[in-house]
Amino acid sequence: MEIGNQAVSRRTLLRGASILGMGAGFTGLLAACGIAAEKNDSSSDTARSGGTLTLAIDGTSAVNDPAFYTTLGDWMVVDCVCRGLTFISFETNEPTADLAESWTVSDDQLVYTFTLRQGVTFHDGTAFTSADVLASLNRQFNDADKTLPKGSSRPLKGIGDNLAALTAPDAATVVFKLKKPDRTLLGRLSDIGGRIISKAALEKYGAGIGKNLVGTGPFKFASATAGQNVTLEAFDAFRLGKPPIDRLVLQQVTDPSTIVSSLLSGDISATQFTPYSALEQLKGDTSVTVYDTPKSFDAFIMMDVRRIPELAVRKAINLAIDRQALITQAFFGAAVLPDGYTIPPNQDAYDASLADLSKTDVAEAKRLIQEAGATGRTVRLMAASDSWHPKAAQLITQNLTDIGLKVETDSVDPAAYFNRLFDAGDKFHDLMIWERNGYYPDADDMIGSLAKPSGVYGEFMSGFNTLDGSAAYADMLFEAKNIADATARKARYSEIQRAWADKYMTLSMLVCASNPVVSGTDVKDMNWKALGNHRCYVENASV
Amino acid sequence: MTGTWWLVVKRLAAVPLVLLALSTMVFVAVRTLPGSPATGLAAGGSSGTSSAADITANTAKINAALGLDKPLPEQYATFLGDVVHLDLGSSFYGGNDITGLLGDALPATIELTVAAMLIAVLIGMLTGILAALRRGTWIDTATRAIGTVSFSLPWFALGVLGIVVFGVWLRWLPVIGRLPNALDYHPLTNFVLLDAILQDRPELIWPWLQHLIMPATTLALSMAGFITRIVRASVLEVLGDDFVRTARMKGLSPGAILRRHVLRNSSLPIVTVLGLQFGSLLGGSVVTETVFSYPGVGNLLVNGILQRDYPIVQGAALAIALLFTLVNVVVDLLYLALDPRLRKA
Amino acid sequence: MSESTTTSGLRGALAARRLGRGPLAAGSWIVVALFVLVAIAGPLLVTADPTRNTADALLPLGASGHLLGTDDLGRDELARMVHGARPLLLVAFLSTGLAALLGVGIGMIAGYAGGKVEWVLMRLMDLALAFPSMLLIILIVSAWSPGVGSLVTGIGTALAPGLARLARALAAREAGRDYVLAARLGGTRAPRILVQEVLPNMAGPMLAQVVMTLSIAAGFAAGLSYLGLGIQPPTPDWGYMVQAGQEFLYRAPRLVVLPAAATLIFVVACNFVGDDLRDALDPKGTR
Repeated sequence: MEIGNQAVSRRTLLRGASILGMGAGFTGLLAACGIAAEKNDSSSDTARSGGTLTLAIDGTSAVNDPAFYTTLGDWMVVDCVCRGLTFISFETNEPTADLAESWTVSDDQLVYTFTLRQGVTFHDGTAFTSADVLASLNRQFNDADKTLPKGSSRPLKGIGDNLAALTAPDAATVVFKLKKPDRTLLGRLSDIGGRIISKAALEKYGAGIGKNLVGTGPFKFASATAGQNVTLEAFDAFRLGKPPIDRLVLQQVTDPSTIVSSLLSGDISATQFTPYSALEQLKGDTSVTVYDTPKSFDAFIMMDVRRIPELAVRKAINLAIDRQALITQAFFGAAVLPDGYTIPPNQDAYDASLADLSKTDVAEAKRLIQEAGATGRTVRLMAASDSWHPKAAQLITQNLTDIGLKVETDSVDPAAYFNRLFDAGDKFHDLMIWERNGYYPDADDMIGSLAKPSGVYGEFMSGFNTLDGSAAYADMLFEAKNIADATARKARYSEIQRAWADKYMTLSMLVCASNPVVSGTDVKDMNWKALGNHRCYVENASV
Repeated sequence: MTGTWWLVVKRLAAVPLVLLALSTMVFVAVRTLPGSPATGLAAGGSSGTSSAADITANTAKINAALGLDKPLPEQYATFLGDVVHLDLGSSFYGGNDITGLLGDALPATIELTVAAMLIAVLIGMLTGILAALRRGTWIDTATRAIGTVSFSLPWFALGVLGIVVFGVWLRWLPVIGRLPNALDYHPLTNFVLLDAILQDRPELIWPWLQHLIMPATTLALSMAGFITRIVRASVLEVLGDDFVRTARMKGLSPGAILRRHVLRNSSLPIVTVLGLQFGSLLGGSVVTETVFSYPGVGNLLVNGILQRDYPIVQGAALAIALLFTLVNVVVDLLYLALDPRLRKA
Repeated sequence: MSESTTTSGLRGALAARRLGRGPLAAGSWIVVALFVLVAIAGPLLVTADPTRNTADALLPLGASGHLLGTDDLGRDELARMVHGARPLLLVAFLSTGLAALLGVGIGMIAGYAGGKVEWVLMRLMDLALAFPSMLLIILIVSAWSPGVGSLVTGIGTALAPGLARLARALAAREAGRDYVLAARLGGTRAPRILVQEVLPNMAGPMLAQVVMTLSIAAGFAAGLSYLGLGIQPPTPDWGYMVQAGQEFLYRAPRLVVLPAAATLIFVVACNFVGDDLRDALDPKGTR
């Protein structure tokens, strides 16, 4: 008996039907309905032995596209499927060669010439050439690219604005000509936006590439269901050898207590979305490993200078915060004091001599508030209602009440939070609790974004751009990021940070915190430092 | 008999009207939620490096691409036009076809709710009959008390408790999902049991049941208490009726009386309650699915709301309402089948 | 007529000592009264500040000065439990009140007026019932900023249709009675008839159902707070406390058990009180 395009013997169906105690009439009915069986049956799969690694993720929209942000989990899939010209492992912060074998930089720092690696194949069997690089990166740079889906966010668009030309003189060479020097180019190319997709696949799927992503990475796309999971399979011809595991599943788990339970029960192999409050308990459990994940993201309060115009009041707020309480009660130890102000301790420009910019001095804070005549004034604070945010809001409310302010708070649905942050007219726009993850581990991604007067932090959130002298910071930050010598660069960044905090204080650092990675004890050689930065490099992991 | 059919037709004809009104309500409601999808899309993943002006421009572009810049009545007209053509649109995040998403999620939710109903009926019938037969004893009081407690129990708490006890401490049951990730499953109908038969893969059934039992029981417990009450009440009522006394006098065994007379006559209120409770079961499944990361419509709906993905919310709400309305129609029909007296009305 | 007014009234039931018979019913009345008492007077007796953070986080039961220990932010758990009764009871009573007002009002008008008015009103009610109430409430509540107001509006609106159905049936029954016809012929206007004649006669069964609704409303209120859509921190609220305490399920289970048990006991007691009222006021079972 032939059903659809797969032969199913009548006996097979009958045996199946008998599972339910159904009669033969049933099979006839199904045949009449023309219900077809799927081509791939599990029996056709070759036997494998490396096992399945399951990572819990925040969510999936079943679209994995370097030009289109949906969830952190969806971009972790991009990490596994596609690789870029350069690579940052997060075990070190230096960009290293990946699909580009080597590069040269012209003396004026304006021309980057990349020599591409030969003999690399995509998951679809095509060979990797400069045409793939152009096709992939032009999606980031070119507004009119036809393979861009609706709603694309294009993380590398900023680089495109500084690009004079992107050319491929031959199949193995790509040349970037910049308008202004940019030392961060190599690092930025390692980020999600710089990942290389097969040009053949782009031509085949167009804007639908996110559902059929084809790259050169260690895992190839198998299937994805929105709101559920993405399944990847090991790519035998991966440039650095076939990964030990056979299958990688990124499973959406949204309920924090379920994340903990499924780590303990073994349903989940690893995750960086572990709730902070569970860390103590997980550390005491022999079935899981809790990693000392780098404290790589900034937790802070943005202060809107249009609402709180007095520098003294903003400084008082900064002095009032009990950061130690935040570390123990909101982050359960998975955070450290922000001694380097906005630069986390694992980054090059970290300078602990800036610790005084985030010190706590309640008496001084009270004095400043009284002097400014602000005692009893109402300030409004908003925070997202998930993860550590609500708890931090409660602790900070107490701190600010203690120095004589009256605090009104609003706890905001995370989905609406961006809108609220970006809306200067919002009732609660005085103080905003927020965080910044350093996906690209460089000072330019932290202070470079946070203090940029024309960026979302400087314009939408704090109104820093309305203050005298703020425009100069764009030039200062540009100059600092291009200082080649690491020591000199660090010194310059420290100067900028100190001046910015002293003169403006639009951002009060709370802590530097980690996305705590936890795995089952059977999981070995997983790059947990990368995972702590929401980057998924598990090609060496085994279960 | 014509009366009956007329009733059925009338009942079915009301379904589209109910759905139209509901989809209008959801269409408006979802747009009153604070937070716009375009800002989320534009800001996501690039908020630090892009300039404020870029984000503003991109937000406007995305709004235009998604059709959200058009006036509401126009958006509404487009939406209705599409629904009539059975096109529920595609999601803002990733352009997933909504009918496809529902095709994946609905079977899972139906499996969950049907399993929950079966469990609830089983528990409710047993305890209800027991309480009625032992009326006035401590068994009766205890059963009623436990019944009340069980339907007052918040389902979320039950789910979490179940996960801790059976998933983590005893390790008897898996705590998330619908099937193990290591298992190959290529859905055909997306009803696992049916697929197991069609694809001749009996090995799917056991893991499927393992994943189903805990969320289904969690849901069922909230409903079982109601059924206990109804069964107890109606059994008591029937036991007092003349025909049961007659049967008893005729020397029929208690078991036979129970089967032939009592259960039959108390099935009517039970069916009614099942129909009414199906709604709260669907409502409860939303939270249960989230707790167990169970891939159903409830999960889809919650994700849609969280991401402000309007087409998903509309589609999922419509699916839930359709399911609920259809079940109520079926209940009405069962009512007719079970109680011949009503057919004449 | 006169017979039904005397026996279906609350006073009549009390006089006939049909209320609070049996340990379960009597106990439930006492429990509900106790909860109300705690909600009203408790905060006056327990002086510790339920929103004051301290460094003494997660102190165990019986710690000095903290009978029930402290929570994750070092706040006195006893104070939080006592203060936490208020929002739940407030939301439960207010939303039940709103549901009763809407439901009885609409139901009575529909039942008394009949015809097209009845058809339109009851189809509207059917519509609201055609959607799981929890989802309906979530939709209503999410559109406002969370708080007592949005909870009461959401829960009250969602629970009204159920009451409206019963009220319609009761009002329709009464509308056909002689005394109503007499009043009508006597020139009494409809609103007056409804309030003075119809309402008292349907109060018994209605009241029993309203008390049952109270327990449902309390369950919804706790559930919504648990989902983060209810009372916002730092105001203590049992539903939110269960959710927040869930993080410490393994380390300090009391943070979940205490508020969850308190909610449960209140909801169950309301249920039994509703049962008892129904047995006493509506022995024949209108529903």
